[in-house]
Amino acid sequence: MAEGININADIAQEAGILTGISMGTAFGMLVLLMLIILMVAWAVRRFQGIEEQEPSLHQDPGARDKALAGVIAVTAVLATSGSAYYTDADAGHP
Amino acid sequence: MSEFQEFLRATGFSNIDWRNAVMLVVGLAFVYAAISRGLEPYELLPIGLGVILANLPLTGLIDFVGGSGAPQESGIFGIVFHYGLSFWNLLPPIIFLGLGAMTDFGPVIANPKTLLLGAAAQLGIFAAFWGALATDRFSLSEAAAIGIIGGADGPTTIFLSARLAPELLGITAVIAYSYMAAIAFIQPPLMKLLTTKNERSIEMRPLREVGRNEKLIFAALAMIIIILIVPRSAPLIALFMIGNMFRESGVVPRLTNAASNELLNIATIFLMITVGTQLTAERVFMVDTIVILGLGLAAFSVGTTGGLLFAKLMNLVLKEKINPLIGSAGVSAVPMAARISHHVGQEANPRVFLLPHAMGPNVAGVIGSAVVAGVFISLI
Repeated sequence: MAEGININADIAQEAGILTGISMGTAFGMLVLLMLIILMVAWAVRRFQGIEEQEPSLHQDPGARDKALAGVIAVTAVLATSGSAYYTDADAGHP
Repeated sequence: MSEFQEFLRATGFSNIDWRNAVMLVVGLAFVYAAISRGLEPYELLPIGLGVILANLPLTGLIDFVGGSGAPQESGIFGIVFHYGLSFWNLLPPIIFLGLGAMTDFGPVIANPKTLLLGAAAQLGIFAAFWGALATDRFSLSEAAAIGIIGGADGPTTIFLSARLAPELLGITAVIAYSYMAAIAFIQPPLMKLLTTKNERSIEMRPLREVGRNEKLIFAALAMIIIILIVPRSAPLIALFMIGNMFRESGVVPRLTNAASNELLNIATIFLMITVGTQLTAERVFMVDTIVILGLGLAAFSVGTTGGLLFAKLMNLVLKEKINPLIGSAGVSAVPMAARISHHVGQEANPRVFLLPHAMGPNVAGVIGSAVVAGVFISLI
């Protein structure tokens, strides 16, 4: 198997640089977008005076139970219609 | 009599060989999978029909005669391939316009740290990239076109392949869409192998409401900043964000509807059939195709693993834990990967509702793979 692994040194170097730049750019870009989102959220709250209400996991037992009942019902329908992971609705866009 | 013999020699029956016949069966198999099994029908049905057309001899459908050649010598799919893909590369950006008009950035904005999971899942691209180079059968351009399969994004795969390795376009696109169709079989075993039941049972807080202003500002800023940093990603990112801003503005419903319906559907028809026509017997019956098939599977597996493990890594420092299953949704097969995260979570704990949370990394993966494609185009 080791004999099949044969990368020209120059190509390996170029590929290494490509990998580093690509992954670094992708991560860096998404970190930057994360910061932008946090800044925009702060700015919208500040200038529109909107109080952010973070939904709590345990806030409203009644509403949560209704939501849970809805999820269980949907899951049951999906389970009876065939694959656990596939529904016709999965036939989406390209 | 000689005219009759000439006529017989000019029929497809006289010019078909066993490899064409096998490809006809492959095309019919795609059609069957799409219609009877409902596997990615919007992709596999037109691709399967394209495969059938490409392997019927002497049709001229995929010929292209450029320059001063007579126009009637070019076939419809040769023209669409040339102008839609290899020469102008128009069709993938048009698809992204439609996708942007259908995308909701709300889950990403409500939980921005999930963006990082979209980046981690792009590791699959580099697994296939390095794997292709290690076989010593592919150039750097071809390895990049093979690697982008790991982004699990059809239009991005087609866009990059058309640019860097048009001869591999049909193979890389079909393999990408085939594995996207099979993602329900690829991901769950890995998800269960790499996470404990306790981890899969982690409940996540419902997401906050995200207003229209936030979504609009995010789309505009993201477009400007991404394109300033990676200008070559502009054809995909710009159209994606423009489509999204049409949607979120709420003031151009006709444009939003046209982008996400008529335009997207027309582009899909021509793009997918044309991609299928690239799978001629001459191209498929090569060892390289089997190698790319294996590399594609490795790409999806490593991408899934990367997303899952990065989510677990994040949980080491986060006070409010995330369910690591959403990490696998960074493999941006939208929305299937998000749905799979949700279903696997439900199996562990029926109270877990991951779909909105998984859409964050799912959409982030689209951005991540487009950024990587832009870097590849810039540097190769």
